[in-house]
Amino acid sequence: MLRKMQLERLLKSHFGFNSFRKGQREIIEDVLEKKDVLAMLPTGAGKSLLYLLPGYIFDGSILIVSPLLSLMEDQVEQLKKAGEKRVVAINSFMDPGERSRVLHQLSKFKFIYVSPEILQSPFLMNKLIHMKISLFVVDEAHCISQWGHEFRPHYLSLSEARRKLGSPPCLALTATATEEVREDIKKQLEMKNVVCHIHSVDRENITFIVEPFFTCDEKMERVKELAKILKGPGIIYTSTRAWAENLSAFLMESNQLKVAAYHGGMETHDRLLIQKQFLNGQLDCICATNAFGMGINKPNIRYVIHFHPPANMEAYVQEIGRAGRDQCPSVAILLYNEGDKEIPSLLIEHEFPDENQLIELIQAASLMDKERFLQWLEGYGISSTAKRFIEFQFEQEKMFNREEKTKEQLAIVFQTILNHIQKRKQYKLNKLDEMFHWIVKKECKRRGILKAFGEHLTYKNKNCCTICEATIQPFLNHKKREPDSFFQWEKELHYIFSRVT
Amino acid sequence: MNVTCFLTLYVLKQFNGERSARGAFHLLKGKKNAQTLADAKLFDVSHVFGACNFITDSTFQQMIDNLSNDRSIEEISNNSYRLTACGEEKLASFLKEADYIKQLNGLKYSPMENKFWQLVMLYVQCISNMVRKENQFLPVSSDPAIFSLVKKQFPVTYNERVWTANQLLKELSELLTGVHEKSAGIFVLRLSRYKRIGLTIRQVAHFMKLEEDETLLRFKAVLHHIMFSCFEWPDRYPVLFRLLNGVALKESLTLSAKKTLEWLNRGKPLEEIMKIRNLKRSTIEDHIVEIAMHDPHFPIEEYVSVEEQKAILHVYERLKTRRLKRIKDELETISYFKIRMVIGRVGVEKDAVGEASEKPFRI
Ligand SMILES: [Zn+2]
Repeated sequence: MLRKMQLERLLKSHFGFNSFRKGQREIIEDVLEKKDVLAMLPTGAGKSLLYLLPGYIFDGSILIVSPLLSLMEDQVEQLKKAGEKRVVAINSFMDPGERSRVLHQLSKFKFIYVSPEILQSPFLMNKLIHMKISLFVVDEAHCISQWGHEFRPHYLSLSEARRKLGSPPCLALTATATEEVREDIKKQLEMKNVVCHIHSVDRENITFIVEPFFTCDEKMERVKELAKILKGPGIIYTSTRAWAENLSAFLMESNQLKVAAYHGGMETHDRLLIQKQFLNGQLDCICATNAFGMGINKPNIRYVIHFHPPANMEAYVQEIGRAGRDQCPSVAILLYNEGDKEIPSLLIEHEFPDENQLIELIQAASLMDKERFLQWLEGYGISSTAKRFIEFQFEQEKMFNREEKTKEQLAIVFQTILNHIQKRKQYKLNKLDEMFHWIVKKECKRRGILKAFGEHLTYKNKNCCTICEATIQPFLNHKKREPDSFFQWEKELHYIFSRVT
Repeated sequence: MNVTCFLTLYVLKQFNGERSARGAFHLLKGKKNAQTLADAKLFDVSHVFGACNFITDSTFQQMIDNLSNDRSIEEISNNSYRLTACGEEKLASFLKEADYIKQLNGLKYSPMENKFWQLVMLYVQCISNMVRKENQFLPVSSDPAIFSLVKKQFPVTYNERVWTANQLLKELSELLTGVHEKSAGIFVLRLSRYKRIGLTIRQVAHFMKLEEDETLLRFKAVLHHIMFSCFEWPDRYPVLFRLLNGVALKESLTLSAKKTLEWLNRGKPLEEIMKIRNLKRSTIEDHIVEIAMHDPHFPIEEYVSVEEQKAILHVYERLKTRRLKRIKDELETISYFKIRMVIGRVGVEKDAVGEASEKPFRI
């Protein structure tokens, strides 16, 4: 009872909330009892509170491993804004002077965000070993599983890092992980007597619509119509950068909408502007690759359209999950045609080197030390995912050890890695099949999603899905769009500096 | 033909077959090697230096091929080209229209245009929100260095902010009247303000129904025009000049001194910077002298008291020498560091064009 009040007091004083959101308290209580905890809960459900609040009770520091630079920096910025100064993100892009300043007084920080790569630095590890780490948090924990949809090889070294730190209690967080992946997370992080808090992946306020087409042109026509009639703001996901650009230009021309493209190939600063315009409500819709979304917290996104189906159910659930965070009714629409399996299959191919490339890579690695090899790899013509894969595999096969390898040994390495590639490819292709199976199957879409995550359907909203005969009627826009007023630079310049609100 | 094409034609014409197309590529791309820099001056094309820094090797080659194919240029020797009569004609009619090309000054300003723009953009956005007493907005930058530069120069009181807003309006109105209507529109659309995030080049191009290349070049020309005017008449554009000075200073310092300046800007004392950067005291002192020489606003009082300054200047005037040793001999108790700082300043003050007495942030 005492603890209950103490928790609520801390919640109020540090975060300004009067009560916990669904599920938060139970998880925090388990964390406070120093149990290993695996929590799967939807993005936007307040995941960070699960380790921030214990941070104010534990006497040591909280170490948070996070895969994405932008996510880390967002978190740090938000915490600092909220008045918490003892927070820092350590990553490889840090200014060296700044980094050494931080490292010299590391124990002063309560919340330390690190990337899995930087955690392998012996210098940092040495500092951490001499501090008290009360909680080891792994954010986006599904990245540790090669069966997860965003496998990051460096995550596999986290168990070792945790052991070196004297195995502090571990909190693994994820938004989307199938049962298989969850089991893998527990195993890889060496979690003992784990308490699992698995929240349903179901998003009750989202309606699922799936529409088939014969040709891509038909699909274009449909997406044009949808973007015009649906209430925004919305996101339209495409599978490639070129498509994000094309579609945005097409919608801009044909609909006179405020649309912009967003993808990883754009200049950083343009990306920042587009992102902020979207958050600021200046855009009706954004055409984006899966580069858009992580760390973007916009509560009132009304629709997510998939112009191309994603490569697996986890990615799909994560992407549609960006709609309706405000709990208001929202819609997820997936458009597909026969040829849509091609791009994702091709992308899966590109995630790995082919046989000839593998031979070349092994030869190169046998002649160079690690540093030189990585430099050489930079300029080698394979995708960055493939590069990360190779670097990790070579590390595993001890390619960079001092002693020279015999021809036979190299042949074994080749065969081992090749087997690995084939296994992973097959696995990914199966996941893709599962996605397309869900798309075409005449079964309630909600039930299908839940099944993929090992859950059972218990509740359906009235406007559930295509199969349950849902309509997009409730999501139509009834307000007339105001035409842009005539632009005059002098007038605008005066407005910029005026006090008129 | 788009603007990039015409600029290529222009450079090839200036080269007159004496440099290869490759040289034109380096020039437009803004490559900083001795040859390119010399060419820029020699052939009088320094204003378009770096004008097309977005161009890639393959698009440039494609362009050369296209220009050859439509007989605007002809190859006179290996990879050197000359304009045909037809090419000359096209170029002439383009230059007549594109008055903004004249306002470019790439060699001088392209190294700092980006930083300067980032700074202006965030500063204007902050002012626009702050005069409306709105402090919840999405900043258009994520660069901590830009934030700290804005912070350093941001007026503190509300009255000062209102004054700065009015002054900036005055400065920008005047400067934008000096460019083409279209260019002024582009610049203003790119600015961020209360409740509006500025547009990207692509968005502006779409809005104004212009080509993207032209939009970008017009935008650069406006920036260069602003930078030129601020350096030329600092007392007419005090707010923008102060912003520009923060950037320009950093560009002209040595890399190591830049780092020291960053720490100084964050309020770190000399001793702490020594520790952080693991450098000797004398090295950091060298940096501070360098910074003070470049920036007439650098507060040297923090290192040399006003009395000491007077004493040093007194000896300096009496001996009429810049030789430190002789000055030091007269002033036993004052360190070399202090003397260098004050003597270094003597040269700078003359360049500061009365700006120091202007005190633009007081009402
Ligand atoms: Zn259903």
